[in-house]
Amino acid sequence: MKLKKKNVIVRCAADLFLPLACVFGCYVVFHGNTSPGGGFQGGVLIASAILLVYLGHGEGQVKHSFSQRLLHSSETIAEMIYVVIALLGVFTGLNFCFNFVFAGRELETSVLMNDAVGYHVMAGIICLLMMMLSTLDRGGETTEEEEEQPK
Amino acid sequence: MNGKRIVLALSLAVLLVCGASAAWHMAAGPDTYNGEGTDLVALYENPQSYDNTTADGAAAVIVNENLDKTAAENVVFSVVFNFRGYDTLGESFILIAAIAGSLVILRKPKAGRQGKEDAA
Repeated sequence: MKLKKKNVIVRCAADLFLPLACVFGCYVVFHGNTSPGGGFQGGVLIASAILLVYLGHGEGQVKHSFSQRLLHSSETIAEMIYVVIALLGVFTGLNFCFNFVFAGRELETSVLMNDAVGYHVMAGIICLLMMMLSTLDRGGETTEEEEEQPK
Repeated sequence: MNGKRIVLALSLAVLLVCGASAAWHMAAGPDTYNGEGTDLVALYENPQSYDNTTADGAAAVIVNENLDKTAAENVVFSVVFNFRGYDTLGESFILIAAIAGSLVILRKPKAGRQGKEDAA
């Protein structure tokens, strides 16, 4: 029952760290081609935002802010984008996952593949965490009922 | 029951023989790079002085011809997304399969099933 009344310190700390977590995750994803990190790691970093929302505002806000169905379908679309970009090399007579460079060294096709993987991992981990959080609350309700019965 | 055990023992024996032969071939083959002659402090202070002419196999291709083959500045990035693009694709599909499996297991039960459980 203590967790349902959100403390003002927890709420303010979650609101403070939420944009920092999102910006740092986006930085890791978008600079994956020149620095350590990449799509997988940055996607997981962005997905940690849902835990901050859950800690600060409860499960109702999580269900209000995130659409599980939309995330689950758009991660598949991101995976299809990865396959299409990787198949560009096959269509032009080169090998799979060939790296085209459009403008100098700034825009490569591998960077777009990296961003697609980052979005895919973010959506997938958020889906997993939403499912796990819903099971957490169900378990809490059953234990409360069991505790109330002996009284 | 007995047939299952025979099949299990046969498959384990095949695995054991394959592993033993692979280990024997690896031990009998030529030595690969084991990091013996690399001075890590000197490599960290001056990466351009690293002697990569004696790299063997795929490492020589990745280190020496990376810019010509993939046009990617970072070698690690080019390995993950160009040389091993199939591997990254498979990892993504593993994630999709894991999410589909946990959707099946952790899905909220429907109202009809709950009513049946309460009645029982």
